[in-house]
Amino acid sequence: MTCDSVRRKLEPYIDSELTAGELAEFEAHLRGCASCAAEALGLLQGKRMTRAAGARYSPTPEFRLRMEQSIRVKPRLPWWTARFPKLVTAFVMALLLLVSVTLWVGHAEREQGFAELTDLHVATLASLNPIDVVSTDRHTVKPWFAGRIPFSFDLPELQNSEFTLVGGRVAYFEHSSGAQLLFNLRKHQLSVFIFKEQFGEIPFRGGLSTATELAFHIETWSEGGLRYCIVSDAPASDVHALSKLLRSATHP
Amino acid sequence: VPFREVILLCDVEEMGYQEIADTLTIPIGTVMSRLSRARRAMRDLLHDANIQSASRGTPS
Repeated sequence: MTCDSVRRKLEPYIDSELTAGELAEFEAHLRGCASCAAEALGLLQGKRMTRAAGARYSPTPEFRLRMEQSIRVKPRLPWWTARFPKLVTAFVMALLLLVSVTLWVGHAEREQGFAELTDLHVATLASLNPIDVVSTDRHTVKPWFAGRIPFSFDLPELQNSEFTLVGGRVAYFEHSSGAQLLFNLRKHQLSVFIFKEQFGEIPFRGGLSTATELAFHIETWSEGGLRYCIVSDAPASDVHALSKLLRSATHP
Repeated sequence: VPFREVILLCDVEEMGYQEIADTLTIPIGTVMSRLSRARRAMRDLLHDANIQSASRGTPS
């Protein structure tokens, strides 16, 4: 052990914090080195003196009680909150800003998605040939899509419901092709859009949700990796009835 | 205060480094460095006080 390394460990030595191995080596050095031994002795005397001085003064019971109460009431905050209060405030503000921007962007994308689907629905109704496959039979419409879109879907039995299937066409939304089915309810027409749920492309998330866009009622949900979206001028309750019917087809 | 508390806990209350670190919720390395600086500061203070009392004691 060199004098340098001994000097670094002088304090752990006088505080009895050295391991048994270190202690043996340390004391062997002290026996042979007068200057290190003198240094250690000086420190040890300082420590003893402090202890004696500390023992000489004892706090009054009132003071002790006051200290204990102040310790109990005051919660100990992490050191960095005391040292950098501005940093903590800035961090919290930045976090809040990030969360609100993320929520706002998500909301804006969702609104834009609904607007685009509403446009698609209106454009289909305005078109001279609104549908590519004209059939009220689900066993005709569903196979027609095979090979035209990159997925398949289930259609419910409509015989006992007010809805009638008019037909379907291929629709394009956010760079992907999907199915657009047209249903009739009394004089209303309802578009059902079905797309593959792709992260970052279809701007809708999560389960069943509804919206209103230019007085069109919209209901969207996700099922088995597919994103369904109904757009119609029919009352919201009818839109919901069709959504229930379609969901029952995938979960009979 | 940070110096006083480590000196008090270590020398008067005779607590170990780890115990002090747990009590003050600071790393053990901080306990050691504070203790070392506190003792040096105390030594310097006592040294200065000694010089002053010695100079007052000697006739000019």
